[in-house]
Amino acid sequence: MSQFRVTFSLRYKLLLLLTTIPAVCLALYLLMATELFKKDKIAYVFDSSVAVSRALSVQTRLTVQSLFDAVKPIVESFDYGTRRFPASAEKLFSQSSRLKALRTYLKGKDGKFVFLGTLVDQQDERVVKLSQDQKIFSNAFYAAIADQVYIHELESEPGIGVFSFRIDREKDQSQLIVTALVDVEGLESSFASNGLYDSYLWSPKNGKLFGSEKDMDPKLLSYLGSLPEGTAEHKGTNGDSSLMSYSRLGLSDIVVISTVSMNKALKAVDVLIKKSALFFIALIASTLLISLFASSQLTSALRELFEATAKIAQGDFSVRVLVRSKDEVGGLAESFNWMAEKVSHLMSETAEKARMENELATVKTVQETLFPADNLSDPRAQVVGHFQPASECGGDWWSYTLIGNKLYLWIGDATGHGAPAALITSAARSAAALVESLPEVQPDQALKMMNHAIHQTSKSKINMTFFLGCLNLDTGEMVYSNASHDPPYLLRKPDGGKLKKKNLIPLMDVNGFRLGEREVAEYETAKVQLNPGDQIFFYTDGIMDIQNPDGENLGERAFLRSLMKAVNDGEDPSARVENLKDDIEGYRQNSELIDDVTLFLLHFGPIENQVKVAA
Amino acid sequence: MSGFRLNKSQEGDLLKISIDGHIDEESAFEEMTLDGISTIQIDLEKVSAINSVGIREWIKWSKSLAGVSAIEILHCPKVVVDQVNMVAGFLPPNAKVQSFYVPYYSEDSGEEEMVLFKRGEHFDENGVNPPEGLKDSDGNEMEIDVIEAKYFKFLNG
Repeated sequence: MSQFRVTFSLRYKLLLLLTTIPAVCLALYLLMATELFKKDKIAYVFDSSVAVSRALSVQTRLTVQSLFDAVKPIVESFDYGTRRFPASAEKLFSQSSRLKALRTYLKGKDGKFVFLGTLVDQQDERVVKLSQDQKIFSNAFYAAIADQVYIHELESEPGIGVFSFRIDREKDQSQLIVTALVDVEGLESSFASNGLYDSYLWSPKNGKLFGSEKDMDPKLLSYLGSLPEGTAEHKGTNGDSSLMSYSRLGLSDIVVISTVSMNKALKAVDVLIKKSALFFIALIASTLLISLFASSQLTSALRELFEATAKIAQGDFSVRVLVRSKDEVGGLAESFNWMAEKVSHLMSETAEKARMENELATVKTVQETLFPADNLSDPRAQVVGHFQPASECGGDWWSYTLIGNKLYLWIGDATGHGAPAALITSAARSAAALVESLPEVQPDQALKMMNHAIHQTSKSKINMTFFLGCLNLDTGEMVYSNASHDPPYLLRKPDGGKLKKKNLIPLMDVNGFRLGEREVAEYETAKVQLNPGDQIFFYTDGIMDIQNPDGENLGERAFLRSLMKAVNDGEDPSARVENLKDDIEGYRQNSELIDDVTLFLLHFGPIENQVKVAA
Repeated sequence: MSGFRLNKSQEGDLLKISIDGHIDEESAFEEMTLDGISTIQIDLEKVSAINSVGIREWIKWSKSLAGVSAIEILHCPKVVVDQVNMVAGFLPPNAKVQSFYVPYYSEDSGEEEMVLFKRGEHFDENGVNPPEGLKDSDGNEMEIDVIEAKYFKFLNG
């Protein structure tokens, strides 16, 4: 396994993810919420501001109306004969709490104004003094001439204001101008700054009449519309923004203007933002702590798995991880343990399989020694054989032994194939070796001894069919015994002719039980006389079980045809066996063998036109 | 997978057994209760193959049937006839083949046919009397497709 370095661990990724997402969401939410709140607050302040303006407007109008109602009967009762106010007027004047001084003028037919008379609250020295100051009334006088209601606080005299208006008399088309000093304490306090709003009573011709001590920004006038009420957002020369509202009195274009600093209006928003920021920081801190804990929990299990896989990569299959949770990570840990167990088991099996394969290879090597190393090439007889196991080692065995003028021909087929059958073939070969060492042993006696040996070896669990022939090379007489093996075919060609089916003579005059089937078994012998040129084909039944890629067995007919063709076409036993092998391999096309395949061909007598048989 | 199956039914003292499929190492021959049974008929028509381990299992099982008076083997396929001929003791001493199949083949058309030989009709203790004039679908004569000396050997006892 390569040395993998973790550069940006999953823990930090999770941490980043778990904190970034809520942080971004919260920040976006905060932005949207404050913006919305800000808009809502501005709308609220506008509403409040309009309400303030409207209330001041109503209050001012009522004040003016009450002053008008108080002054008018006094003025109208003026006695033009004595050019004095009558006692009733003085009484009304004295009864009015708001009227402090009163002066009236009459506009004559010549257009000139004539002073008619005055009433002054003599008990108030300040009023007496102010009533003698003509300058105070100057603006009020001219405003009244222009038919404008005028009410203006005297900034130097708190609570006292100048009030004037004009009365048009219809009966003589004359005009009365009334100027007065009045108590405006109520209005003054209403227009005084309350800390939030700065309110002004303003007239286009006379400027600021009432209002806070702050100078009114003249730009505010540019927002005044034709509507009775309105609002606007205003940016002052110093850059500070403010919210402005106005409400018209309905008297001589007098208007009430209220402003509130944006900073003051949105102070609650600032508080909200600050508190939200604190909450935001607290929340992120909490998320960070929780994420730290959660990612630590999650990644510790994954880190453990990572380290465990590294150990497995290094060959330590005993490593296991603790399953700490019932979630996916827990499932992964469980799967890892299962996989480690399986891999460990598989490795053990693989090692065991390798060991068994080695042992099988050894068995195969040993078994190969059971077979003849070379074909027999003798002037009197030739033997050519072939053996192909269905697996690593097989249950077939064949051999030949030349003792003096006797040629023993052995072929057998143990039950099944593979290692167990191979062990039986080994036992058979051992028994055969013992038989070979005995003088003049007949095939029936040999099979009897081999039966005993195999029975002692396998206890009847594995049997072996067997055919043993003993050929006298001098006379051509072959004595044979059979233990339930497929009878070999004597191939006797007609003179100069081809081998045909009728020329296949099965050697089946005797038969006995399979070797190892019974503890004691007797066998018989039969004789066959061979002529020079005669051949005997020995085989096991695996040859007919050969299958082609379609799973179809070769079968007896095809086998016999291949055999006859191979014998007819081959010039010598070796070529005939090769022909047969090629033929059945062509049918098989490398398909898996069902059973071991063993065959060998005995040719009795010298080979025509050839003395030596190739190995 | 062998697809081995053994069916049995009893009619009086006659036990009828039929065997299907491959007879091999996976074949489960059941132990038979033979009380009151004098004859067993074993129908082997559907036996498709038998290997060397199957032969061992068959012999072991057929030995357990030796207590009855007679065993009749019916519809013996070629794969079984080959084993009867080759393996000594494949059939118990009290067993007789009542019918068996013989492969026929037409060299001209390549047609194959399994012909059932019946005891008393086509064979007996004295020899074989094959049906005459067996022809393929083209009218060509069909021949027995085995080495006769080898295939009919079991009839000699």
